[in-house]
Amino acid sequence: MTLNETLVRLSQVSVDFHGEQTTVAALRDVDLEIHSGQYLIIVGSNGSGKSTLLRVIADDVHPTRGSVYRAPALTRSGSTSIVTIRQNPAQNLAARLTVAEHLMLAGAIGSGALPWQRLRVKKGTADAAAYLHVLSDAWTAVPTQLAGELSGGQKQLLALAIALTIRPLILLLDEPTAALDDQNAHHFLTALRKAQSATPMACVIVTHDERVTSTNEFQPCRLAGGSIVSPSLLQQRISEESPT
Amino acid sequence: MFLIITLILLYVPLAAGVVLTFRVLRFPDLTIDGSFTLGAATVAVFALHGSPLLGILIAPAAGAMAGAATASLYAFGRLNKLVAGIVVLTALYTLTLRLMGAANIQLITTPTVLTFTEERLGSSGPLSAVAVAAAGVVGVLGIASRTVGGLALRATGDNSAFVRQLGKSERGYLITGLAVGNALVALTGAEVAMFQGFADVNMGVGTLVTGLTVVFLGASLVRSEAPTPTLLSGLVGVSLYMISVQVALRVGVNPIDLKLATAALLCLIILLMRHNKDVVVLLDTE
Repeated sequence: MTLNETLVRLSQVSVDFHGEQTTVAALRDVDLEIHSGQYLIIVGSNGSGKSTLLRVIADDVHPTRGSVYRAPALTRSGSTSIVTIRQNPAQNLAARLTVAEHLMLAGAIGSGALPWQRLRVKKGTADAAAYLHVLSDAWTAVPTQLAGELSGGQKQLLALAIALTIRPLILLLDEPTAALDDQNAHHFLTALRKAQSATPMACVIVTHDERVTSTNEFQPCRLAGGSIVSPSLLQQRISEESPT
Repeated sequence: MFLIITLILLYVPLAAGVVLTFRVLRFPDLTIDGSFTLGAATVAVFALHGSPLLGILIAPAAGAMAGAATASLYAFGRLNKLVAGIVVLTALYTLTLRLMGAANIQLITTPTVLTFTEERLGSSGPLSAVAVAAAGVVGVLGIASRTVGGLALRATGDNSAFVRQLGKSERGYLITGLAVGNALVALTGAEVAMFQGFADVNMGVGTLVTGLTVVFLGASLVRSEAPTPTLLSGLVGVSLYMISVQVALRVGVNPIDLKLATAALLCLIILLMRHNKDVVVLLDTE
């Protein structure tokens, strides 16, 4: 995978949700391209269509109108090409599994291990410690601790460590810092940017958290009423990232 | 003592199966009552037709299909977990009756795997046979828990959305888990039918309550969620349960009242342990 290769392209995508009485237009005529190595922040208020946009990118929701192009690498069987980190830290982990077990599972999935293959316990534990140390100096949990006993910030950092271990082509983050205090939000965003800049992985963050936009050097793309209202900024971001 | 050890070993696969479905996968699987009878019926019919060894192999496979059916109805048909189990349980009643051709099959004079071991090894034959089965089940599950699939299955029981987020099929793991769990229950049913010398279409009634009592007894004493202690909790639970049953019979409890006594014991354990978060979490299966 080379930098700036198109992974997903949304062309005039609209999504309608049909209720009993009304139809809600969650997305309207959205044009969006996601490239490898891209760091895209999409801001918008509640109900602006942010989460629906992520679900379309993740192929969880099919557009009512418009088309979605996906790079062949995304649909390759046996690999996990898109990973989502959600707002609620508890949703991103299995509470009864230890930190090391999460990393072992992620490492196995990332390396394409088959279900009947033996877990590499020592390597998993080492990976856990190494990744979490890289992610944050603030990490104080031990690998044998249960994920359910971690703080919200630690859970999100562990979710990020899992995502990075799996090495997806696209990492989707749905309000990842909403449940975190300022210090943990800062740790999370710094760790995310540091890790992402070293890989060809594309990151798409949807948020209404101003800390996300203030921490990063990139101008966000704005979503309102289901439409992208500042495409010029988006184009600017893409052109800035293009290799010269 | 000899009898108690044999009974404990007989029910080890059942304990492992219920621990897998209820404790690991958090699935209140009502299919278990039907799988137990299906396993007993299968081994009885095969023994009657002169293939007792084939019967002991086919019985778990039949149980696995029943478990997979329940899991599929839940995962793909979007039926509630309890409703999916009830639907398959009801269907199994007819299927088992059709398979047996009668409500009861006597095996007293029919050669089975247990009578074969008794002929070869004397009175310790059946004990040896069920010990081998129990050790095999525990060994295979112990190895499976240290595989990638075993860990993913545990994660599925904990948070299926997490497994889906990782790009893996949580449905696949759920179906596999329930299939294995019901295969183990059917194996127990088959062993019990051979041990008792008959298979009856109603012999599975109460199996789930027995299994749950085993799970709760074990969980109240062995709290860890790690694979080995979880498996160990099933062994501890089944041992305590079987000893309790034998003590109850010795002090004069009528065998007819055993299911009532088991249900009461289960309620008592839950009431006594209701403030223990490790036990409370077992009741929250949605």
